[in-house]
Amino acid sequence: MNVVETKALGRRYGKRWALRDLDLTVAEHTVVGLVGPNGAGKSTLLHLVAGLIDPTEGSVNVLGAQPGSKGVLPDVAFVAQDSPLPKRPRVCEVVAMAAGMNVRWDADVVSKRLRELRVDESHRVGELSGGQRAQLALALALAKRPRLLLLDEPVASLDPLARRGFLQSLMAAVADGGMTVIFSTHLIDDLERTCDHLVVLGQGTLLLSGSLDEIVQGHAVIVGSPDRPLPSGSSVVGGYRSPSAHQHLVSVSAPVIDPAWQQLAPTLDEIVLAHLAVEPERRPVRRLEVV
Amino acid sequence: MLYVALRRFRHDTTAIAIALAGVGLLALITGRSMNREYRNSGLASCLAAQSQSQCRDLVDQFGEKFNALQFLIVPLVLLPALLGAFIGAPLVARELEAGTHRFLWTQGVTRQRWFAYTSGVALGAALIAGSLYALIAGAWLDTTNTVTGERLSQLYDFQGIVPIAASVFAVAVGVASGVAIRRTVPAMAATLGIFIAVRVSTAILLRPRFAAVKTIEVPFRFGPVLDDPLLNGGAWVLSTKMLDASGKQIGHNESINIDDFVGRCPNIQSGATDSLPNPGDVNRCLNDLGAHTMFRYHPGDRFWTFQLIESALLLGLAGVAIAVGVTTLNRRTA
Repeated sequence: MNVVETKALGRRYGKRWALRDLDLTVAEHTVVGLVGPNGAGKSTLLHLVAGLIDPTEGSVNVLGAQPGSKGVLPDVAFVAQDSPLPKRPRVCEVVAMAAGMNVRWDADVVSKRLRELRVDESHRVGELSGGQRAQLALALALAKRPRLLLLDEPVASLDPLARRGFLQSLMAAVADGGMTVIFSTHLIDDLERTCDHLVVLGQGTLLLSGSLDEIVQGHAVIVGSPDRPLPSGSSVVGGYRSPSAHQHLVSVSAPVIDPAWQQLAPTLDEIVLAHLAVEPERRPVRRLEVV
Repeated sequence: MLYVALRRFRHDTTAIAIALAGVGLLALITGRSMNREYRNSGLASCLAAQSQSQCRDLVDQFGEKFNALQFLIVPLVLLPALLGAFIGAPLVARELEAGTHRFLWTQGVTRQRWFAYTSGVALGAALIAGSLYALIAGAWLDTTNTVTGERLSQLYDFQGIVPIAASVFAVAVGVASGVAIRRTVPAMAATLGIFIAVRVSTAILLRPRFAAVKTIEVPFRFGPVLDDPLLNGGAWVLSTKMLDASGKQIGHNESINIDDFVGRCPNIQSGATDSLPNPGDVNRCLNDLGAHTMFRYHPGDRFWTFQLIESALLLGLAGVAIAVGVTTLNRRTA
């Protein structure tokens, strides 16, 4: 079953398309990393899936219904960028508030997390550190026991220690099972540790999507001489390292077996960056089957 | 859920309670001194036995003594607008501005439901605060109503049920402005602007037309023009005109343009000399012309009819504002 399904999804702000012509499916129980530079449309996509905004064109379907609708809201949790929580109330008040606004609520999740983090519940939310606030927002999201958890740049503003703590909390929750996660990030390092699927957005369009394994296996760095044709079944994504050395990052449908080209295994980082570096007009329309 | 919505208003409730307590204290102090003056100066017994114009000196004396209070009454009419600006406008705008709507609107209840609860609580608070305010102001103005007979005119906006409806209207406009404008301070300004525009235009353009205007004509005489039957009944006089026997207008209010009579009365000459004509001559001339004063007015006993009509109007507009708010909220632009 697909948790998220979009068809030709587009969202325009004024004259600028933040997201355009996006066909994407997210299967149940996957952890999807959403990457792309600033302005790529990551937040827009997450806001559309959370039901905070409506599409300008196309459709988005979450758990078989319209996002943000009554039936879906209890099953979807969203931690927005910079974890916006009311700042003036005390921690315990925000917890009580969230508890009162949800039908399903696991109070233990929050109290346990706050104890572990040594957050004093009588403190005001505005007095918490960035890491504590992000953890509080995550705890509140997890207490909903959501089927779909959306996180928008949850670790972007955190120091490395807080970031590790946050991702550990997230991974522990994922390990408990039953949850599909989509989270956006700039940091490709985090992806390899946490995600099993990847979606790369650039300038509002889908550049690449698939499981990590598929993506890594579907690419190769090939080194060879300039006068030789590319191995069959491969196409160049980008000039790589140094074009003069005739190194290319190519997408491949099958392992390259061509003695003229030496093959190296690319890192995920290299693949993502190569896709992001492609000029928009040169981009092939590529949609990998399953995310 | 209701509890959550109610808790959000703790600080607002405290602020309203403090403001109302301040107004109440002020009303209590000045009200007591007005009441004392009313009884001790003999005005109470005079008005009980005689008509308004016969007690004029005492009325004037009372009016002079509490003249300063009329400046107090102007901010009082804006109190409902402040409710709208400080409770209505930030309700949604503050969340949109701080980004916390992303938290609030992604919990287990729809944004429409959350909006219904919080704006419901805000409107309920306006209803309660407006009622308390109307009670305080009504008690405070009790003496002044009797002395001035201005309950339907100058003092109309401060008492009865209009302040309650105005408070609800102001908060509804505030909420809708907040949803539509999405920023707190501009939404507050818009709330104040819309509130003042609606209240002023209602008072000037619509209120005089709430019922058929009555007219009364009385023979002209020098002295206070406003006649006792009107004044004692607390009438709201819309216009006063002086007419001659044929119904032609010869003067407005209490002023007469002497030049209009030149040629119509033999004993009044044109201003060849700078001296004014003899008042006796003018009086005789006006008598000869059949001069009389025509009042257009609403009788004082229309107070509650007018209050009901205006409150219904304001509540209707409040409904429109809430509908605009809900429609804008449903559009989900951000």
